[in-house]
Amino acid sequence: MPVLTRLASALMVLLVVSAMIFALTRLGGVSPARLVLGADAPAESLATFEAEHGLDRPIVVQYLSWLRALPSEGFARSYVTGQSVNQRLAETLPLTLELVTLAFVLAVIGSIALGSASAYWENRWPDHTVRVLAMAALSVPGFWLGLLLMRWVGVQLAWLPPVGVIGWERGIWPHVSSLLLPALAIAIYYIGAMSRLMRASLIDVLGQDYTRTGVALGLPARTRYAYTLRNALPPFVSMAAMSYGYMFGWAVIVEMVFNLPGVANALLTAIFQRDYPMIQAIVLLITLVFVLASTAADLIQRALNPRLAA
Amino acid sequence: MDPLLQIEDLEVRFGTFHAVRGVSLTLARGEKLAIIGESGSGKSVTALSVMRLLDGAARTSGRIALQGAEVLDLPAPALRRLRGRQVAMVFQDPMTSLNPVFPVGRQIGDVLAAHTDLPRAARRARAVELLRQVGIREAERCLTLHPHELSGGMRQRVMIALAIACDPALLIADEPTTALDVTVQEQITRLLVDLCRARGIGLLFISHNLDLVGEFADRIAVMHEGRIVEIGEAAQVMGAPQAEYTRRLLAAIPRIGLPGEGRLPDTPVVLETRAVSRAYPRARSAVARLWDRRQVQALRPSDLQVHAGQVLGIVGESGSGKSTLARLLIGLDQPTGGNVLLQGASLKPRNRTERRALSRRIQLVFQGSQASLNPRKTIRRALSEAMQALPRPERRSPEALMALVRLDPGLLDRYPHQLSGGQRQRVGIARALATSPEILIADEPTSALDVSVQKEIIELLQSLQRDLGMTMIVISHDLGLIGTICDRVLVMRAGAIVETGEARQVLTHPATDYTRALLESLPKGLAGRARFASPA
Repeated sequence: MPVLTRLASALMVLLVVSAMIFALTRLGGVSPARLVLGADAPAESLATFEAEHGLDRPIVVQYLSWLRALPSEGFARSYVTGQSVNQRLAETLPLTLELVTLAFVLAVIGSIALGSASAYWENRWPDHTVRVLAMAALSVPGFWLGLLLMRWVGVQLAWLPPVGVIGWERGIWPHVSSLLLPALAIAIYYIGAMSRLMRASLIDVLGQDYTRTGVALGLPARTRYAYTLRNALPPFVSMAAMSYGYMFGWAVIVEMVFNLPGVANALLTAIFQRDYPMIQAIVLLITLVFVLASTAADLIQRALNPRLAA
Repeated sequence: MDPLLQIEDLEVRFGTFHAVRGVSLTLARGEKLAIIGESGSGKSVTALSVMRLLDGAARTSGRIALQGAEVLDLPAPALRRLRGRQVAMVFQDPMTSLNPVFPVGRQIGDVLAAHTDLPRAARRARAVELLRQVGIREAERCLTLHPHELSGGMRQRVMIALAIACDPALLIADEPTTALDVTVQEQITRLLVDLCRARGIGLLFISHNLDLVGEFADRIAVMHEGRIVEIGEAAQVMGAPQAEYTRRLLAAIPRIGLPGEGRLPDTPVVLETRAVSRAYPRARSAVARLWDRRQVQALRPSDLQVHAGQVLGIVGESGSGKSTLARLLIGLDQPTGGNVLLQGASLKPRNRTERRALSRRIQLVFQGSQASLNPRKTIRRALSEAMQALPRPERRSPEALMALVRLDPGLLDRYPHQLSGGQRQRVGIARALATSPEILIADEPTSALDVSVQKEIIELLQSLQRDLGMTMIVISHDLGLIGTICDRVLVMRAGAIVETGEARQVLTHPATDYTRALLESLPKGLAGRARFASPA
């Protein structure tokens, strides 16, 4: 029952956001027809274009028909390129998803490891080291770091390909390794932020009575770590879920720097060209990712903490 | 034969604070030794150092030998094997000492996995057996429950099951019943004593409650300021104490002393309730409340009368509704049914002015004055602010209020954390008296304090009530306190009043089984030893 309630509210959020996106892109004042046909186009060809694409109808009607077509036909065609938005997304979205997911995995693993080290050696040298690294990670801009990584790891050491992406057909490792540098450029900021949260949360749990009980019962270190981690995770999960969404924003810069043909790159192009169907589709997908991530976080919280499930 | 546990010249320092100063004691196999002391006496630090559970800031010296092992010199792996297998510990607060996110079965299973090589199925069977031994009937079901699904008493039983899982030779119990209701306290103490007797486990029982340990301990050690001031057979320590401190401690225990002689005068009723009740919605969120309209009845319709110039005691265990009732009486909360009448007029402030006027007439003394005094304000400010409800000419000086509660006015410019617990509680009382209220409600006024300080606060409340002719309501789980200062008593259970009457009548000739059970479960010191003479 609570799960169903949660999913229903996620769906509501999506609907509201899609309506807002739809309204915002249409309230720009300049007709897409003008953009496509140029400043000199005669009024009648503008009207024909608008009628063809249904742009002359009231905005509510446009929204509803767009919504109705969504499940069966997907997104419409781009006015600008004439290309199918569905197809364009199919070309670009997987790469960005891979990039962001890889960055997310790096961020989660890195921040749990560093945060745990910090908490267990609180105010000793591992903690101080991690603190300094985290501060650095939070203050260095991601694109600059990306350029540094590219130059140093990619060019000078030549461990990993510096730019572009290598396709799956050349093997799994070449493909993943070509995404490693851009993923790292995104992940480092989040390793900094999330490891601080992990540290604070673990230190709180380490000071709890039940942690002392574990020591008093002679539980081995591994069991004790599992006991504390499980209790320390809930705030971390919330932050991680939000970060997953934010990473798509970072992807815009990083895809440019590393010259990756991802969806973030496509979004920038669409914005420059006022390609409304494309902007709508991409923003809606990013919203979907946000909503899915926060729903997943809520469900994970319930699984982690039986008191919430009640 | 060697003793099970031998402590020699134990010293523990935290920075400049000398917590334990040269403690030596021995505990034989199967013996029950109690360490008694007030807060800061070093009793818990001594217990924790036996398991080396003190944090890194502690500097420990001396010698602790447990079954031949030198505990203070053990390397980490050996220490881990010792903990839980040779010596185990039961802590004070069962609400916080069990891991909240794992089911009971897993927690017991993990302890067994840590110290034995039993396969999974055998661990489960053993966990069920252990839960039965600690008196949990539905043991199989209990395996799958999380701590928050269990009552306080049940959680403490689970904690005991964890502690005895690997048959330790020594069990340390640090105030194991302090956080529990008095009827549950008796059951848990009984369980610990019976288990240790049946299995020949040595028991080191840390407590502040002399009457409680007097019922079962073989020997008692009394600690004060880091030293053992007296140690000996229970009968001797309790019956013929040698140390001055022990005598003081024994004299301070609040025992039911029946106040007053003859009939209570029939004074007018100042505060009463007519079928007052309070229910809360079960569902937490506003959305869930749309379809879940179930309610939790915190207080069933109740009638009570408070007579002018008398002290009414409200006694009950946790969840009995006594605090809910108190909040309704003071107007902090509004009833969902019935009425509260203050001198015949309904008590329902409609606006700020009325609320202020009401707060002048009824005041509250809180349980922990540590939490109810703003840590960033001096005592002078706290008292001055309390008087702002009064028109300027009626305000008294903070010095006068301090004199009223017999505190040195020199303390006025200190902050709450610079005062002792007893001093803070006096400030709490002074603040409540600032507006010269007609009625004073004290919610567990002594439960956060040491026994000797409790006695001072009780005496202060008594003399204030006498001198100012105040009407007072005392809410407590402590029958000793209630029996010392109250004229009338009201016994509550599960949101309802079960018995009410003059204190002398209720406490000597209780009319209901519940009141009788409450009285019987009170620890009685040496007089209660017969109860523990044989297993139940």
